[in-house]
Amino acid sequence: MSLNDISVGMAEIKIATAPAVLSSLGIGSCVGVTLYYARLKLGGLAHIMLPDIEAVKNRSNRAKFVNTALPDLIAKLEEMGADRRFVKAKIMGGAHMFGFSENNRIFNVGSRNVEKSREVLHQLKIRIVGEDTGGNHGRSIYFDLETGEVRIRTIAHGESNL
Amino acid sequence: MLKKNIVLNERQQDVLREIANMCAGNAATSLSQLLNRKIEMNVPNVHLLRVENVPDVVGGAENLVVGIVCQVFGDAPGVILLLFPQQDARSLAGILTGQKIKNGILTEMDQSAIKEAGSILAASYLNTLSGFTGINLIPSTPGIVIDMAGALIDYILIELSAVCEYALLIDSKFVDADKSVRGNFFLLPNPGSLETILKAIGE
Repeated sequence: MSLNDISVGMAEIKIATAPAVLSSLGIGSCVGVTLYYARLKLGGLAHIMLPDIEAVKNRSNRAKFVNTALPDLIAKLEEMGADRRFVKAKIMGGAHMFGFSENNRIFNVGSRNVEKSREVLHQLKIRIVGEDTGGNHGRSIYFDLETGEVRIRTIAHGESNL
Repeated sequence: MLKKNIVLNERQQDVLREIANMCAGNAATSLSQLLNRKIEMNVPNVHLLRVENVPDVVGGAENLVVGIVCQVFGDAPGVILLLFPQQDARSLAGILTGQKIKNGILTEMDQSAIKEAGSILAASYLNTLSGFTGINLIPSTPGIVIDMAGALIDYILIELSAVCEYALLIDSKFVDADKSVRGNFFLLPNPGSLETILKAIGE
């Protein structure tokens, strides 16, 4: 953890510029979506829990849902001068745990989060350039605003860059 | 349903802590008998906190943990979660299987032994809680997950987060005599179950 590290917790959105690194640790069924605008080395990370705000009663935290967090995130970046035609998105997370929630309606929250993220990004006309999703393992992600690269750490599947 | 405006008063927290203390005490005794060594449990903490803040309490979202998950069925459904640091899970498996502790990954046999210990802890805990409240509670067969603590919490709470903003977490730490096995025991009642429990004890 360096001084430039900014941690993004569950149901949070943060934006930053280089040399910051935005990180979310231990993402399971949640999704982490990064948006990067290379020209300003500006980007944001949303650590999202659920696909659809319309499906729940309590809507106090817009950062918790895919279909509110992503529009909010791009709006913030545009305020800072990003041009969405050149913004690039990456989607990480959306795992699900085997053996626990069989026969359970939550079984596929992870994959629904990922699908909804794709759908919303498409509606927002933001290009998706990378994905590391699904499986049954947690991920930690480190989004480097200097390069736009995302380093993904897992316990059993090593490290990779996206 | 557990709503935003529900705050546990101090008395209710004390009562919950007291009950949890007895449940944890009996669970520790069961585990002591299984392992044939002394197991201590501390006085439990009762946390009522926003779902998204739960990973902080568990400590270190990225830490590798071995988690035993039991669903609780019956009149006050919820989830029981046992967390062990990986090294401690190995020690526990070593004690249970009588094999030397290896440094590699947990074998199938190790995992099975740890699940069994988890099952006994959960059953004993719920038995005490049932006896005290008259509420019918049954644990599912346990599942084992070896992953980052944050991811584990995330899997378990994501459903809860759709219906409710707050999670009640009853947390007991337990440790054996030579401190080779330390773990955390969590009871997470579903929304609604907390009221059932409080009502049953006349609060």
